[in-house]
Amino acid sequence: MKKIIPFMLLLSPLLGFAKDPVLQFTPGFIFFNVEKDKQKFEEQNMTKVSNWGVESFQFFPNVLGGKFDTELQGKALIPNKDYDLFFNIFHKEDKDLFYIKNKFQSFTKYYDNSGGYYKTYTTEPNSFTLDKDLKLFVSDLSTKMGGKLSETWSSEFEYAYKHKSGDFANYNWANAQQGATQRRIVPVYTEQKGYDLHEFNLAFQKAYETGKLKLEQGFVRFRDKTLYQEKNQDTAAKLQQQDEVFKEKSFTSTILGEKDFISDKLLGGFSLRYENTYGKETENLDTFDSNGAGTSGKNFIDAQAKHTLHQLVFSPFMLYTLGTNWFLNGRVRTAYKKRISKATYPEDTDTPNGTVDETFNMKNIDFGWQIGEQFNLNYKGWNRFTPYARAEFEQNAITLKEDQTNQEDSTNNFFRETDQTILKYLMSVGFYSYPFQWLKVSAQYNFKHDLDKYKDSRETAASSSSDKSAFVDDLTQLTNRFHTNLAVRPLSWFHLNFRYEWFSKKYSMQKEGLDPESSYFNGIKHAYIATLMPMNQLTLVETLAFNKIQTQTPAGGNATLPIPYFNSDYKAVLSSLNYDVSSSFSFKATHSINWSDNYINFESQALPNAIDQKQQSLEVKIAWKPSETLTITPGYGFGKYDIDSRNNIDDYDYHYGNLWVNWIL
Amino acid sequence: MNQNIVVDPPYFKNVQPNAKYVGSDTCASCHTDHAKNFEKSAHARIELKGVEGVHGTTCESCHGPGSLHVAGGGDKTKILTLKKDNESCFQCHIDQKAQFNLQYHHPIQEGKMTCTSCHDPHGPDAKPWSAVSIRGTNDVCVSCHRDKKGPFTWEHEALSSSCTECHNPHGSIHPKLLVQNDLNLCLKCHVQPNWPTVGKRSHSAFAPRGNCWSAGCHTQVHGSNFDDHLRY
Repeated sequence: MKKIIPFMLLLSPLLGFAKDPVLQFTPGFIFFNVEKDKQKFEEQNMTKVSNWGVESFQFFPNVLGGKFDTELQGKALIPNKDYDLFFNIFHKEDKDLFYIKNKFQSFTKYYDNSGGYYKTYTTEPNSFTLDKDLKLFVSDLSTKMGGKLSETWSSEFEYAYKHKSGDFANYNWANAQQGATQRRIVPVYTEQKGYDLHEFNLAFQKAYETGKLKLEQGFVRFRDKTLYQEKNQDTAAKLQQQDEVFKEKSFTSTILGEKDFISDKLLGGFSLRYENTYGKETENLDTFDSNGAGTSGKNFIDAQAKHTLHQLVFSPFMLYTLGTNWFLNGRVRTAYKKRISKATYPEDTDTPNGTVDETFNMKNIDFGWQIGEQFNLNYKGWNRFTPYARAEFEQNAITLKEDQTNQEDSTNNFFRETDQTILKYLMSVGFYSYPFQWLKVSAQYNFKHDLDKYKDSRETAASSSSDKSAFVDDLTQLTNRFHTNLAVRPLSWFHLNFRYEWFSKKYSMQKEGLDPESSYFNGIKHAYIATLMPMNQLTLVETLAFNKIQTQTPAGGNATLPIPYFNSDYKAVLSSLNYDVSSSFSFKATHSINWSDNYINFESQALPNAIDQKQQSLEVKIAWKPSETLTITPGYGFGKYDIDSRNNIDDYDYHYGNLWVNWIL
Repeated sequence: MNQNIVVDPPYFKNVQPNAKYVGSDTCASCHTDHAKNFEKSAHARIELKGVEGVHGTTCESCHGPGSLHVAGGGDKTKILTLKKDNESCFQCHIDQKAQFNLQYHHPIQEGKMTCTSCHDPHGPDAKPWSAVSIRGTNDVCVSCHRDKKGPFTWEHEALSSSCTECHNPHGSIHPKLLVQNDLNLCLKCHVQPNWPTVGKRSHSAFAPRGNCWSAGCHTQVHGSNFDDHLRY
């Protein structure tokens, strides 16, 4: 303490040292020692192997003085470009009178640079990696300014900017070959040259004695430039590059109104929203040989697509208190949408020579209505028990016109008009209950039915060997779902939480001219949290989660090409311990583990990707507080990831040490 | 806090150990708009009558006991503000907590997003899609993943159903947050009685090469501007 006082006195002219905290910040570092697949480690843990900077800072400046307060807080971890900055200015006595809220957040997303894995390849590599680190910088900047214009009028202006740049991994892969056996397992990436989204929104709101009216005008400008790079590792070793630029402008106007028709009994309102979007994409697709010269494959020169979208949405709602204990909430939505897309796709076929040999022109239009209804009913007349019910309906009637012409070969022309009727309904019933001081229970059952019908009123006939796309007549989805939550507190220091969920979803698709075929997506999930607080200073939390999920399709029993059912089972255990040893010393440990055992080897039929893996991590840290203004937190951890189903090519182990020091000035 | 009351999530003890419940009527006296609109929310169902002395059944069941926040004149440091805190959500939504700890997940645990980045816990669309949302089914997803929004010349109808037909937005053991990681992802909708034929074309030579989207064929699964089979 004697050493600290002269230090603080030295700084006080700069910091305006006073009794209340002025500045709080936490510099430090973390360093990982990673063995085996470093890229996979970075991808899953969202960090480089070393990271340092200021984990958090908070500044309480009263720089504006007078009627305004400011808040400044954030984070700056340099190697990951992991930055947060929140800077707010607001009126001291009434935060709604005037405020400015600014936010900047950024981080780096890392990607593994390996593709697929094919066990049968033995003489050649059975997996591949890119000689490149893949990372994408993601940032988000926004500013919001608003306040009261008068007793009843207020306004708010918001600007947001989202940006991405870098390289990211694709989940479609290039060709590898061993003899006559081809497999698509070579990693592919895209260079994100610039993803820039600017969003502006201006809103005015008038408050009435019994309601409010809000007017909003929004504008979005979006630009996305990417270069997709797919390089085969077969004998031809072709490189395919797809250069895309997409630009979009979108205007949105919204009116929202709300009124208390009968005080505390009937609240009604509406939303009216009109969206107008213009988009344009240009694309070049080039195929090169191993010497970098143009070669046969897909080569498209200056393909262009333009889109116009108009959408008008009207949504009234009502919230009605039926008597003392019944609450009815009803909403309706009506929308009309029209989309027009025009595209030109010039192809330089055979060996490319810069001359367009074939051009497809496309004009696709869809327009139609969507109407939705939703009703929620809650009853709150019983002590400690609230039942509820919900019903939701949706009807869509959409016409899709697709026209595609080939300038050089009219036999490739394609015309179709499809009437889409989409009908959906959802029913839910459930309750929340607190029958005893030590027991809380909730449960819900859902049933959902979706029917998509496609009727072609006009269609160019398909050939005997090749269908046109979108050959589905009907697709029906039936979902049943039940879940329950139970919280029990048999002792003051022992709390148990249990959740169970069962679901079953049936997909039935009828292809034109064939019988319908059904697939299933079923699962059971259950999770437990046990919390023990045997002393005020000690908390132990244990979370166990079990998931058994399977997707079944008729291809599972197919004689020609059986595709086994897909299992997505996993189990997870999370443990944490917090112990406040004394007022100046605390200890924390967390352990997590998850594992799955789903892999089935059917490589002769297809490329199996179900996962057999195990991941675990342990972290321990202590917090030592030698004074009221200083906390030192060293920590240690280790972790590992083993994925047997990919022959351990993605495995990694790590140990780390970190040190963070929190100062309050 | 009354430690015999089960509605107290244990997590609150570590956040505001000396605070007491004040009741949602007290919250409503300042937060009028939230209180009025809360009845439209699915979370309004958790309000229970007849639990005198246990006030944590609406606002405080998520935000924690509010006495210190009230005494501090609305001091935001004396209440759980869930824009920066997810543990309160995880007290009930346990399975989502486990999903965020899986290998592929949205960066909630890393502090780059919060539950409220996608969900509005007070409003009528806590789940950010329904038949009556003023915004579209996938608007929450495309606010960050704008390149998937479209419109596209050739659309994939699966997107009009929802992004969640193929992706689990919280977390997955599979890359790209996929629900299924092989042909079953597509076959659950596209399988026919005469599989391995899809449409009128046999896929017996294609299936061994890889998955529908990874084997160099249907790569534009979100929609294509130039190919009706979503290949480019």
